[in-house]
Amino acid sequence: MNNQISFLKPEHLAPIRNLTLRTKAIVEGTIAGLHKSPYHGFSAQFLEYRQYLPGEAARRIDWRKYAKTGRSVVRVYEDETNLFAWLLLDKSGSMSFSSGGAMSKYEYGRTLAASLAWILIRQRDAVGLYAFDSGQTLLVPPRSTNSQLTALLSRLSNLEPGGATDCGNAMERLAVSLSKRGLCIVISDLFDDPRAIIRGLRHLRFKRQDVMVVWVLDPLESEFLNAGTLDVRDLESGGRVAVDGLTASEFFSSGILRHRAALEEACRSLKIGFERVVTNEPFQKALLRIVQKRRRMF
Amino acid sequence: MIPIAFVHPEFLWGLAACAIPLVIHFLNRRRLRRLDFSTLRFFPSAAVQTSRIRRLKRWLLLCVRMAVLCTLVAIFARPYPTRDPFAVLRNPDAAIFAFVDPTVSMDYRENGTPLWRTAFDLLDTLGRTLPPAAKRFEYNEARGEFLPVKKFSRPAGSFTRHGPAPLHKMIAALAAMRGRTAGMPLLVCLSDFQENVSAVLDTQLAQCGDMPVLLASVAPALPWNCGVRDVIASAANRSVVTARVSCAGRGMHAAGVTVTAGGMRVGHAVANADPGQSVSVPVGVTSDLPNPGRMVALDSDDPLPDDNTFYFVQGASGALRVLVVGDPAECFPVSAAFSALGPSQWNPVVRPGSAVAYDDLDSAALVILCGVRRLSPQLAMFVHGASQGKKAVLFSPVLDSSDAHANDVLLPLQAAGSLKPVFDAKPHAIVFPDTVSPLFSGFGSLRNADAEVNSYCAGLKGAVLMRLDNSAPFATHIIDTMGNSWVLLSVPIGLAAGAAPTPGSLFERGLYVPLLDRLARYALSAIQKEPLSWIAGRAARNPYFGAQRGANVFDAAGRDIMRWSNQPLVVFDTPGLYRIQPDGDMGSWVSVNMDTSEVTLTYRAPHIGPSQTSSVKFLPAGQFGPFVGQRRPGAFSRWLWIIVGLLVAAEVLLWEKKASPAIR
Repeated sequence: MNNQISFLKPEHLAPIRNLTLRTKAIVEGTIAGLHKSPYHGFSAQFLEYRQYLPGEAARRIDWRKYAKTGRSVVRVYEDETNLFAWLLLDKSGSMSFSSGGAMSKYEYGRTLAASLAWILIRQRDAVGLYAFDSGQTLLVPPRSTNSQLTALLSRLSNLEPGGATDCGNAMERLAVSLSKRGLCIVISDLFDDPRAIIRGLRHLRFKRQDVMVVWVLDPLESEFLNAGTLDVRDLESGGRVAVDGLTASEFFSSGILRHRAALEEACRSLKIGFERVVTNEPFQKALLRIVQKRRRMF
Repeated sequence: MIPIAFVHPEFLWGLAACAIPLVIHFLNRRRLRRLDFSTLRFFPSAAVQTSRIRRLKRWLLLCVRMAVLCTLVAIFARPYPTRDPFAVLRNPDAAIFAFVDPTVSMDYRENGTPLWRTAFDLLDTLGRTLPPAAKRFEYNEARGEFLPVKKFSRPAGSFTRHGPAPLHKMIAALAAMRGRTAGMPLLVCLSDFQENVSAVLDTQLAQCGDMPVLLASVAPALPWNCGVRDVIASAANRSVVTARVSCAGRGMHAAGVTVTAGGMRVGHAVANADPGQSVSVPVGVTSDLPNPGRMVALDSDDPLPDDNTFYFVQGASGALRVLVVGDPAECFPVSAAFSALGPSQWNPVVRPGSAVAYDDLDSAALVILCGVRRLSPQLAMFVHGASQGKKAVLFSPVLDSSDAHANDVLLPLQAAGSLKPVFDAKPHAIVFPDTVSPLFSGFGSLRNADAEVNSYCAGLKGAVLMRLDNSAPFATHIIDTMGNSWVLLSVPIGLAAGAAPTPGSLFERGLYVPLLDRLARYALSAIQKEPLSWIAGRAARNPYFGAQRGANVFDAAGRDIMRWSNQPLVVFDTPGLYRIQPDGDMGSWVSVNMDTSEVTLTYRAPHIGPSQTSSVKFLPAGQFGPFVGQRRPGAFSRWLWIIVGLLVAAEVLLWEKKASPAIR
C-alpha cells in the first residue's frame, strides 16, 4: 500500500511556510493512503445501538443491522462526543536543532502535530494542544470544531522553541488536569531524564489515557559525526564540550541507545505506543506509521 | 649518539616519504568545528578525557607511521657506525688490501684442507659481503705489490712456498698503494701467525699508522705437528745420525725415523714424544755413503708433511772447528754460544792463550781471540802470518787499561796500536744497519735496545760492519797481509774473570748468540769457508759472487735448475739435495733444509701498540666470519626489520575504526 503513496519529503514542504497549507498537503496525501482502511478514526469504542433520527447523515445507519432486522439503527460509541485527544508538543530549545536539513525537529514535530490535529478534527474528534518546555506552556483545551483546527494551526504557527526540556514534569502537570480518558500523543525528542519521562507517562496512563510517544530525532542524532574535532554547544544550556568526532559518535551512540532502550522498555510495560521518526523522513510515511501503530495497539 | 653513515645514502631521499603521513594527518585534522547541538546529555566528562587520549593516540600513530617509513628507508640505505674503524667493510669507498701468508706452515691440513685454502675461503666470504663498489687488492709476491682484483679468488694450484713471510715488502707495498689509491683502506692479513710471523708484525704494524688492520688467524686449534727439526751427523762417529724430533699439539707414539742414503734405507729407529716435547733419536746407519747425502724422514700422519719427509744432511761435511783462545772460564759463554748454534755446524774447542798448539790452529776454520793476555809461541806465529791456509779470526779486545798493550800484540799490523779503552757512564746501544743484507738477514726482530754497552775500545780500524749509537765502530773487518779474514770487535765477548755479567751487557741479551754466528760466518765467507748450510726459501750469499766464475746447480734427479754467476744472493726454493757444479771444478752436493721456524707450530698474536688498539684487530681462528658478518652491509637490517614489525604492531594497536553504527 505504501508503495502506491507519493510521499512528500520534508525538504519539499519546507518552502511552504504556511502551516495550514503544508498540513493540508500532508493530510490529503495521508488520507489517500488510508482510504481502503476499514477504520475511520481514532474513536472506535462501540457502546450500543440507537434509533436513527431523521436529519442525521444516512451514512451513519448500520446497514448490516438493517438487513437483518429491518430497523434503521445507528451505532453509538462509548463517548457520545468524539475522542478527546491531546497533542503534547515539546517546544524546548533542543527541538530547534537542525543538522542542516530542511527542518528542525520542532518544525517537523509541529507539522506532525498539525497533521494529526487535522486528521482528528476531520473525523470529529476533539483535539487539544499542550506545548511545553521547562518554563512556558501553552494549553489549548480539546474541541472538535473546525474553528478549533484553525485555532490550533494558528497557535502552532506562532510558537517558537526555547527553554529547557522538561518532558516528565510537563506530562505530570497535564495528567493532573485530566479527568476524562482520552488519547495523548507526545511529540518530543525526549532529551530529559528517562526516569522523569517514565514517571510522567505512568501518570498519564494512570489517568486512563492512551499514550502514543513520537520520538523525533534529527538525522545527526541518528548517526553522529565521527570525524574532525567538535566544539559542541548545548542549545538549551549553552554549555560547551570539545570532543573529537569519533569519541562523540561513540559516546552519543551508546548513550542514546541506552536512553532509547530504557524508554522503549517502559513504554512496552505501560502499553504505550513508541514511534521513532527522523526529520528527513517523509511526513506521510511517519503519519501512516503513527496511525497504524495506534490501531495495532487497540 | 653513535655516528653512522650509510652504504646507499641516495636512499635517504626516501625520507621525504615521511611527509606523506604528516600531510595526511594535517589534511584530516580539520579545524575545530562548532556544533550547536540539542543536548550534552550523552557527552559526559569521560568523553572529554577519552577524546584527549584519542588525540594523543593520533599523534602517536603519526609518529609511528613516520618511524615506519624512516626505518624502511634506513633498511634500504644500510646504516653502519662510523666510529668502528672496521665499518669500512660496509663502505662502498673501501679499498681492501688482502694478504695471505704464503709460508709453508700454511700448508698445515686441518680436516684435509690446507690453512691457506681456508684463508682464501675467508677472503671469498669477505669479498661477497663487501659492497660491490669496494676496491679489492691482493698482494702479489712475485711483483711485490698489491694488484687490483675483481674478486678474491683462490689459486688453482699450490700457494705456499719456502722462506719467510714477505711482511716487510708487503707493508712497504701497502704504503706505496695508499698514496695512489682513493678510498678508505683496510689491510686484511690472513695467517696462522706463527711466532716468526708475529715477531715481524710486532715491529712492522706501527708502519700502518692509523689504518685499520684486520689480522685474522687461521691457526689450527690444536696443531698436531711432529717433525724432524734438526739432524746431527757427527764427523767423528759416522755410524750414527741423531735426529731431533719435536712434537706439538698431540702426542707422537711409535713413529718411525728412517735414514736413507742414495735412495737406500740405511737406518731406522722408533720415536715417542709427548706434546711440546723434543726428543733426540739416534739412528744407527749401516753404511757411510758420502754422497748424495742422507735423508732423514719421520713416518707419521703429520698434517704438515713437508717437515718430516724431507730433511737432508751432508754426511761427510761435518762441523766446522772453532778454536776459542783465552781463559776457559772467560771464554765459556763463547763456546756455549757456538755449541747452542748446532753441533752439526760448529765444533768449539777452548784453549788458553798459553797452551795453543799448531794442530789446534791448523785444524780450526775459525779462531776466536777472546781477551788473550799471554801468547804462546804458536799463537804468536799464527798472528804474524805463519799458519797453514787462510783463517777466519774473530777478535775480542781486552779492556783492562793495565794490559792495554795486549791488544796491540794480538792484532795484525794494519790494525795494531790504535785501540783505546773507553768507559762511558751513559750506555750505548748497538746500531743495526740494513737488516736485509746478507750479514744481518734474519735479524728483523732485533731492536737497538737489545744490547747496550758502557765500555768499549775506540779506534777500531777496517771496514765498519756495525757501529754504536755514538758512531764509534762496534765491528770492523780487515784482511791481513796473509789473507786471513779478521772481524774486530770493540767490545769483549767473553766473561771477565771473576766478574758477574754487567746488566745490559751482551750476555744478557738474545742478540748474543745470533750475533756471534753471523760475525763468524762473515769472517769465514771472506775466505770462502762459510759452512754450507742452505735453508729453502731463504736468500744466502752467492759463494761465487765476485769470484769471476759461476756454477750450475742441479737437483737430485740431475736436472739443471739454475745458474749462479754474479748475483749477490741466491736462493733454493724447496728443500732437497742439490749438486753445485762450478765452472772448471769438481762439483759438490749440498743439502737444503727447511727453516725450522716455519714448521715449529707455535702461534701467538702480534703485539699491538697502545696507539693501535682501536685500529688493529687480531681475530683468533674462527672469529673472522662472525666479525665480518656483523659488519656486512645491512647487518643492522635484521634489527631494523624487527623495529618495523614492532612499529607495525604498535600501529595496529593504535589504529581505530572510524565507522560508528547508526541508530535504527
